[in-house]
Amino acid sequence: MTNKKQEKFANPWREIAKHWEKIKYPARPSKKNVRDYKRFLDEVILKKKNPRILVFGATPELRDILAQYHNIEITVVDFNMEMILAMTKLMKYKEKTSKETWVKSDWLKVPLKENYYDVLLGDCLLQNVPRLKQLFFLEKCHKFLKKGGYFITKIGAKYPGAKVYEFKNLLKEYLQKDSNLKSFNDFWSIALFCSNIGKNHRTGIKLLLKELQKYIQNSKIKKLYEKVRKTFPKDKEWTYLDWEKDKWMIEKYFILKDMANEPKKAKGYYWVRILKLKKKLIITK
Amino acid sequence: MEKIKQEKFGEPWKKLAARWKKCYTPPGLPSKESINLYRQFIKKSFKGLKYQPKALVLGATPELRDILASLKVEVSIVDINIEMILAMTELIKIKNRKEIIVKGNWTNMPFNSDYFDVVLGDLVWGNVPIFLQDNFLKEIKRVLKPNGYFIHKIAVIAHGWEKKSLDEVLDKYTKIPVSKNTAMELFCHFLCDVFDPKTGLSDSVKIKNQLKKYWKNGKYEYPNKKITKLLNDIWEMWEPMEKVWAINYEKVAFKQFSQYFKILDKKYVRDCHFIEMDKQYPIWFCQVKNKVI
Repeated sequence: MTNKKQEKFANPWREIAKHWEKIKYPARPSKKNVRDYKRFLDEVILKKKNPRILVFGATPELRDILAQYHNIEITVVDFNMEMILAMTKLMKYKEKTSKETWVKSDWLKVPLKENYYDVLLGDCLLQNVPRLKQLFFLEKCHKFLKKGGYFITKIGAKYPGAKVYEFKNLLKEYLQKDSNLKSFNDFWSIALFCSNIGKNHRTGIKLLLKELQKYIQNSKIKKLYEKVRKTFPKDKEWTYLDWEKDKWMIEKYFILKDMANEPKKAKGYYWVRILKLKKKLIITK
Repeated sequence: MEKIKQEKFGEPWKKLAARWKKCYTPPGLPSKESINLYRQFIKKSFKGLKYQPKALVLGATPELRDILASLKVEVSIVDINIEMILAMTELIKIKNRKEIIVKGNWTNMPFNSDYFDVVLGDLVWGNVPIFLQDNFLKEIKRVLKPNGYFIHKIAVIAHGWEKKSLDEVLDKYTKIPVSKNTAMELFCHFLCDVFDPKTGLSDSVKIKNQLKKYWKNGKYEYPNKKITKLLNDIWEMWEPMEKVWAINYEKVAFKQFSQYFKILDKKYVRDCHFIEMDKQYPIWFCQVKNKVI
């Protein structure tokens, strides 16, 4: 994959940072997600003396959880320094970030200490890595973790029993609702990740806009089109996994230790789960 | 050393970042001659490498990052202040989007061991608190490959330095022509003269205290107009003048570095009016000692 292609996944975050407050679950953690992350972290961190945590992405909700622990070493890695700065402003405990080490680097290229971290933490990481680089990314994650280390992350995937929505039906549903932030968030998140617009494990704003364009003569849809265009950069792309078919990539490097329940409102609706993965011991010759 | 003192090394840079472009000059930052010397040493350190070299810059010095970008090197930088990183990144001439930027501590860097071919720093040593200096050298050695190089300009009290009172120094400067570098040179001169061998520190509070007699109505007033301007320029740069540097006698620094590095070469350039000032700012070309993977 060319660098240019790779940048399609990471660079648009500069723009997204500006609209972060308007974006909701699943692109950022819900309250339930925050509780689940905290529960998994407690199980690992509270047993350690001076745990070292590596955070991929700058998600303010996750860093706010970490800010409440004492004596932990935190390293935050993001492709854009603008994103780290913008996300820090949205944190509740921003004054505690002076102790964080920030790294502006591509996750796939960052030369971090190996066998060093107790926990690797990040929200929807695999969705922001190009499909062909996902296995390599997981290998890197495995390397950074100490023996017995954990990878705690939310993964957007098509889990067994998940429903694929018809884009047309989603639009019909949207037209019956009031236009507000909630209906907007419900629409784009399901349309992007749970509908039939994605192709070859890829979905993105361009695809969504292309579909909306077909119905633009409707004034409400025209407004929706404009809102999507203003909130997201048109180049932003995500990948999604088919859990049954793709879990081998994860199982190559990690053992699934626990999985949080889906949020009630998202049951069978969003394909996002928080996984607690333990580093797998790989014996090489 | 207590924490407050440790903060006197790094914290002041946050405010200095904003004044950098206007007030900072050689020997405080690399001159054209220094840049050439750095370039020579860097090229020497890359000799024989058959892959893209990897370099780490301690601090955010734009001149060093520009040299590395022009040589198509993989560059990482580490600075403790995000303000300094952002301000210095604005001054870069060759934009390098792939540069890895770290807001972090030089004594506990996130990088993998044995990763870099060369580590660079312009006047970094004096910004490391004394109690952390050994950890600092160990950390540089850790991230460098065996036989990797550490190239840095270091502020020292060179052999033969004659300590003078600040009044004697001021008198000396009334007799020389003023250039855009003179205020910085004068301040550096003061730093050498307030150096306390007992603590190993040059504390700019001492400079402020000794110049108090010339402070009138919120600015300096010295009998000589030229000196008055220089003193006010110094104040503009270093206000509130509370920063501390851990510079030391060259032979002391040499001994500390020799535990971890071979000092292969040292050279100084002519940046200052007084040659004895240039000698306080040599560039050391060091190589990691006794390291095997």
